[in-house]
Amino acid sequence: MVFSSSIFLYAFLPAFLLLYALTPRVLKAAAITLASFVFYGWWRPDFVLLMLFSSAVDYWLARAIVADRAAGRGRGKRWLVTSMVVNLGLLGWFKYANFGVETFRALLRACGFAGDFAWVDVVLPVGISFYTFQTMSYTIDVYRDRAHTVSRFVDFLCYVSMFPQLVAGPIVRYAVVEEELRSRTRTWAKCYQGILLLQIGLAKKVLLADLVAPVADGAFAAAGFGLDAAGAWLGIVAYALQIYFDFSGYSDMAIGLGLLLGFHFPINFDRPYAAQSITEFWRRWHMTLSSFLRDYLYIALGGNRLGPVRTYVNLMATMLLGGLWHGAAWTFVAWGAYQGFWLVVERFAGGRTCYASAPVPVRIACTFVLALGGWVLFRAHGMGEAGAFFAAMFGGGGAGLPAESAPDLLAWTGLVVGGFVVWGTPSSQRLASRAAPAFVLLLQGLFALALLHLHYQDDVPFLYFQF
Amino acid sequence: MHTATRSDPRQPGGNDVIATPATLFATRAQRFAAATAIAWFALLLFGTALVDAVAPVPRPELIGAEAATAERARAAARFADGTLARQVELVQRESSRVRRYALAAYVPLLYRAFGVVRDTQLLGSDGFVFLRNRLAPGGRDQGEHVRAFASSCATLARWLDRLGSRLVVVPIPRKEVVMHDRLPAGVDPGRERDVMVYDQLRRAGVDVVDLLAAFEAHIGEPLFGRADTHWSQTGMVVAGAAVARQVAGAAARAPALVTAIAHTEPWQLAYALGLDPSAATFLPDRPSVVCAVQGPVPPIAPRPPADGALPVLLTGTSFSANHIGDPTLFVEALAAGIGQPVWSAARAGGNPFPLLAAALERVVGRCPPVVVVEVPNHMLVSASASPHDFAGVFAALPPPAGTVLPHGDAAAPFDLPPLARGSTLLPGRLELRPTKAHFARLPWDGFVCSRDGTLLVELRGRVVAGAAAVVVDTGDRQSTFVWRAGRERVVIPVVGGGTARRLDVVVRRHGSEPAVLELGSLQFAADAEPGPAVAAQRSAPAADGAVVYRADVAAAPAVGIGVRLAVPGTTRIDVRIDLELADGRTVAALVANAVQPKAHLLVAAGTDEPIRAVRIVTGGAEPRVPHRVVLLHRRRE
Repeated sequence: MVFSSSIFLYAFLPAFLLLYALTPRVLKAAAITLASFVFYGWWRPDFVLLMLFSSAVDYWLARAIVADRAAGRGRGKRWLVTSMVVNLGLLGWFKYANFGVETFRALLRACGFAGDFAWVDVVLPVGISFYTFQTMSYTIDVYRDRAHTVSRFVDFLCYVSMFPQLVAGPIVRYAVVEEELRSRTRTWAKCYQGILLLQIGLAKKVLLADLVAPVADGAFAAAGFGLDAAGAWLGIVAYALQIYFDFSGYSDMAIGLGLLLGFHFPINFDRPYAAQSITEFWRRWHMTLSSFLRDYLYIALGGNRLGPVRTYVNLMATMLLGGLWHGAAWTFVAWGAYQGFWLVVERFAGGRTCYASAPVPVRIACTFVLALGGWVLFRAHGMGEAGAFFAAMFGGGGAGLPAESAPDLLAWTGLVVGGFVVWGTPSSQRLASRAAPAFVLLLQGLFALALLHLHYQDDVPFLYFQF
Repeated sequence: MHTATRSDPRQPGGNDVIATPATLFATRAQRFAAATAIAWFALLLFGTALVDAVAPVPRPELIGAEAATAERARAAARFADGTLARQVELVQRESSRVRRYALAAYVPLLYRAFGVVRDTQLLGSDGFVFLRNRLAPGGRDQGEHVRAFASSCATLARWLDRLGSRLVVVPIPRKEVVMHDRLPAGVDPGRERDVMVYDQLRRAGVDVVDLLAAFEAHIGEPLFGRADTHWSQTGMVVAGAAVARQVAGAAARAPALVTAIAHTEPWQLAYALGLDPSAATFLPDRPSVVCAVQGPVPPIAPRPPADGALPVLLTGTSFSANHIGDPTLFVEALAAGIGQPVWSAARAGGNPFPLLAAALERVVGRCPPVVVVEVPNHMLVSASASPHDFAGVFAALPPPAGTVLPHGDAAAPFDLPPLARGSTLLPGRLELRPTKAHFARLPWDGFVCSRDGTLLVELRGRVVAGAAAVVVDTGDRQSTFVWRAGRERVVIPVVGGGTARRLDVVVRRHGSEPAVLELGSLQFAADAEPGPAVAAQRSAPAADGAVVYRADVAAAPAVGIGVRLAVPGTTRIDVRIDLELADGRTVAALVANAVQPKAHLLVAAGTDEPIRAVRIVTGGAEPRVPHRVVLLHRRRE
């Protein structure tokens, strides 16, 4: 189910909120779990079983780790390894099997073989990257003694499957919600703040991301077919705005829904395009993934404790795997390498990059332009398209977009307003926490407009559903 | 132990959770804003859910290819793969009253303020909006669909002519073709596809009004609405006059018009505010010119007079019964032009042929002097299959007498092969169950016939419970008639153009009610009189060495040729039937590969010229064999 769909907003959410309010405290976790299964199963009911399996494995393995420790049979590493194998195996199969086969076929063809053996494409379960990371983080945290084991399976299911953040994050570590899983309160303040975040998120998605999306789509569709430099830059700026408003909008809605249920979820975005370096960008963009990769991968690889060269290697490896986490394609690997490269450059140069000493607006602009380069790789369907788009950005394209593909007035409005929101307003969480009355009243109009526009367009899924 | 922090959200971290400050309700203004936000949120979500659940609106009635696609999606919906959930979402969206009303106001606003249209639409110059799916061709077999439509119209015209009625077909050119100068540069509307419709109808001998030519004579005028797919009031008047000229010939009068600038009327205000439940996507053009036919207009009736002579019958779609602007201006212009009353059975969103069938069933025993059928071209040239099914229309008309064709009777001038083994559509009481259909099948490739209406399927009996669907299935084309109680005879001609290599008559239950059919008889007949059978004689081989048989027949025009092959063995053969005309020319009547060696062929002559001889060219059959040939002549009634 998609947050920005009629079925969610006008059927699932009202029904759930009513039932949740009426459910006795002891059954609330079960109610969330059940609703989450409906929410997830709406897309493909059979994949609920996969999520159940993944949850059950980590629930029992974490208990086995504690049992080993209590019985003096070591730290329970074997169970941790089992968890890694099962989780990464599932992720590998569902997310990367097709990619592996395609790569293998390409290799065979390069070696002169036919490479046309039969293969039925594996369907990628929505959100598997997110919930697998969550179940893994639980087992790792228990192994590292940073979290208690959860006593009731239903609570663990509730944690893994919780519909607000199930399919596209934020990635919530077990330790973050451990207390609230056991006991949480629902107050009017939380409820109000949750509603505001939900409204902000929906407005960002529908009134900004979806409005500028056709500009980006048109530009990428025309890459190599007459796209000129102006069209390419406009297209990639539009995509930068689209992906930010789309993903941060989803995160805002998820955090808001969490508050409506009584949970405090981690913040996922903090004005990333206001960052003054790529290093800072990654502290502000998809923060829960950044911290996950930092804590469970970069530090596990040695972090910065093994000398500068190893630090650079660790940074690069972390970003390469982070890129691959986003999708099974060489463009994502290249995107990870691109981000890793700039992180290494900035770390190597310390405060001496060419833009580090420039005025703040220039530093922000430079960082944004560097981020745009990454978005080309992120958005392109294949390295060929990315190459054609880069060529167009630097004047190697054609004579311009056909008139039919030019942005309309609505898209221009989205671009201008989007730019203002990105650089001229505080973050969503700050707006919702301040709740200035004038802003709240303006937001109500925007919320109604977003709902109206949702009626107008068919349901448009969030971009991060594919990861 | 790690603990989550509820810190200042300005500090980036990665595990910092959202903080709920204690000052959210500190001031009166904040409390007011909070109450407003919570109430507004509840009203919009819970209110919409409640209104849509308690008072849903009827879902749009789909027709043609869209209806077929939707039905296929419905039938294929499964719980396990989530397709059923998609169907539920679709139903929820389409039946949402809030959505329907909200969009009626919002869509025009978007269009007028931002010039924005949906993805399915294309914005041209001067504010003109076009539908993308009407630009694209419907499929590879478009020409075949149009030929089939023309052939079916020709058969209908023949049936009506026999009853003293005249069929006039009015294909409406697509807006994209007529207003092509308003399309974005480089967009090709595919004019040749509309031209093909008129050409094919003319070639089939159908009385057709070439509205494309009529409109192209008024190029530069706003013949279609800017933001509507239908013709404008100017278009209605031009079309009405063109149809009147065709119907009344020299007696037609050009309708005199009065015009005025449109004013906003109360109902339009309601429409703009979204209070009109029938609101369409766009508002009518404002300001616009309103036309009215000046002087007395002959009456326009939505139903036939109870007795006496019937007026001209018009059936059609939302072009004839337009829901935007003046709903009857086209009909008024037609009535004023011909100087006669018009009975309009057209309906917005309707398919003209079921509407024609319904109209004809209301006046059993009487027939209008002229039947005008308006058909939008996009239904023919932008749909994946023709949505027009003529079975109901034929079943509503008195059938021709026909000549019953026996099965396997060598003594008859022309006969049919016996029904294939397993055929269950036999006389007697037939319980029609949801999972079981009864069928009668002529052996595939053992009977080859032209779908020109010469072959008739006749069922006698009565439906004693429920309703039965009678389907005449020729493989790539199905024609369906719903047989209900009160009717004892159903005759459906095999129409659709081209040649059929298979013929099934299938009867199944229609709807969910139990159905019982007491079938008296099923027989096949020819809408023609077979002449005497003539034996074909071995002739000189063809240039490529193929065996040729030739049957000299009385030089006479014929509507069809019956051939009974008698090639020994069981190996399938290729066969060609050529006709030698009285003037010495040769025309091909049939080319068919891999037919059964003793196949029965009933093919259209395709010419009005007298036929002197029939040549049968086969790829084998060395011994002399007794092929038989029969000319079928149009029966005079």
